[in-house]
Amino acid sequence: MTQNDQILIDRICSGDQAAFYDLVGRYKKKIYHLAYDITGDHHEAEDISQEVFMKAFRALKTFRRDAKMSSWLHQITVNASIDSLRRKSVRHAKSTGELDNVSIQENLVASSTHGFDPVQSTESAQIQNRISQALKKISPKERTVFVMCHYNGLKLNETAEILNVTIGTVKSLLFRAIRKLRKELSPFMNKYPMEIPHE
Amino acid sequence: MSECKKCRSLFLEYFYGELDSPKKKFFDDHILVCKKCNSQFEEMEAVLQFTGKRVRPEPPEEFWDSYEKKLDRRIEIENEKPERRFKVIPKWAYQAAAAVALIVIGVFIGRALFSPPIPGVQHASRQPGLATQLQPETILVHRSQDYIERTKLILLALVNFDPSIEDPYALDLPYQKQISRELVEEASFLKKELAESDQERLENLVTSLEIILLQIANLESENDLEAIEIVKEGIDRRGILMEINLTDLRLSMKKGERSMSPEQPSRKPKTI
Repeated sequence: MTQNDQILIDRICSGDQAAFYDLVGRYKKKIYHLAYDITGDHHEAEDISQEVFMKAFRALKTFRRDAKMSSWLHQITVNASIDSLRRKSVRHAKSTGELDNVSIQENLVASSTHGFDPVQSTESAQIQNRISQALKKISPKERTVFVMCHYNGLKLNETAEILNVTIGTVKSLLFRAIRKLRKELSPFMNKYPMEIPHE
Repeated sequence: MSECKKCRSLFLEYFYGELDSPKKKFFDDHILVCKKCNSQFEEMEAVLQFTGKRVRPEPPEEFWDSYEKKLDRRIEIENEKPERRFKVIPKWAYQAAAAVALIVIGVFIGRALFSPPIPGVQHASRQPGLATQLQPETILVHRSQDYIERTKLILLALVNFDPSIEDPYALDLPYQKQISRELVEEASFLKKELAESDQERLENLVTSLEIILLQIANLESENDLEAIEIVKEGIDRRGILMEINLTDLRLSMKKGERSMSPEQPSRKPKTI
């Protein structure tokens, strides 16, 4: 745990409410992003991230000082996100996925206004759409491991610690996720080949 | 472990830059000479690079600005909620409560069935001419009790009959059927009288008994074990024997109250 986290926890435990909001400020984006990557839904991610901080608020006094704060918050987020996916699959919710694509495309349109290249913008939107669809097709566990390592910058051993599994399990889930994603995406990977970066 | 296997186990660490120098050197050296590993790594790398093109939609700044405010509101709402009045009761508590309830019911039934009769009641019934002084309603209740007692004997004989260890003829079914027929006939009169004197519970019990007795009266032979089983299940399902015991208990308690109330001196100290 970083020294700053330790100081923050000490302040929170001594009743300093401002310290809690400092903690929120430090982790809110990371937690929201992870929840979004797993659930693929903005509203769900917002709800989950706030729930994570509420749980943290309630449980901080009993927090083990030797544990890593970020791992703990990530752990709560992953559990809450997987629970949300389970509830969603029970409800057979369809509308959120559609909203999602719309929001992704809106975001892309907004970000592409700088380039003024409608062809490139359409291609990019298609790629985004394909990747989102492919991610939805892999199992929640595989997706969780994949997004943790690939989009959230967590190291393999950190992911294993958060999920309470071995690094071997993390690698195995990642390989499976990559194999499935390759199967889903290979037609588009050929259509839109990778640009070779200029060094 | 073969070099190829070792190399492939390092693919992910290599891609994410998590290899230490010796392992990275081994990986680089092997990839240069092994076409198979090289091609497999390139395939995996291509997927990871392609999926890396994903752009996560970022919420607008206003979302982040109001984030703490929303969280604060949620925490406030959470604190305002009254504490749950009913805590989750563990499973063992239900089991213990059920066990205690069964013991209490068992004690009540046992006391009602096997305890010595209340002296006052016995004495009253022995007094000559007292029966004639009884109210018609009491006579009806006595008749019902007698009817229930006779039916109970028939039902117990059937319920306790186990065809796997007993001779079917030991049941003496023709006799049981004859008694059942008589009781069915009696039930129709008794029900009518009970309905007239507003004894709804007794009437309901006699109706249930009548149905079971009718089934017994209609049994064809001792060997029709399936039909006997159906009747037994009916007795069990309707909880007939339990209902009989409870009615007995209720009636004997009423009797007790009635016999005690006129003569029993008040336990309250007299006030001067």
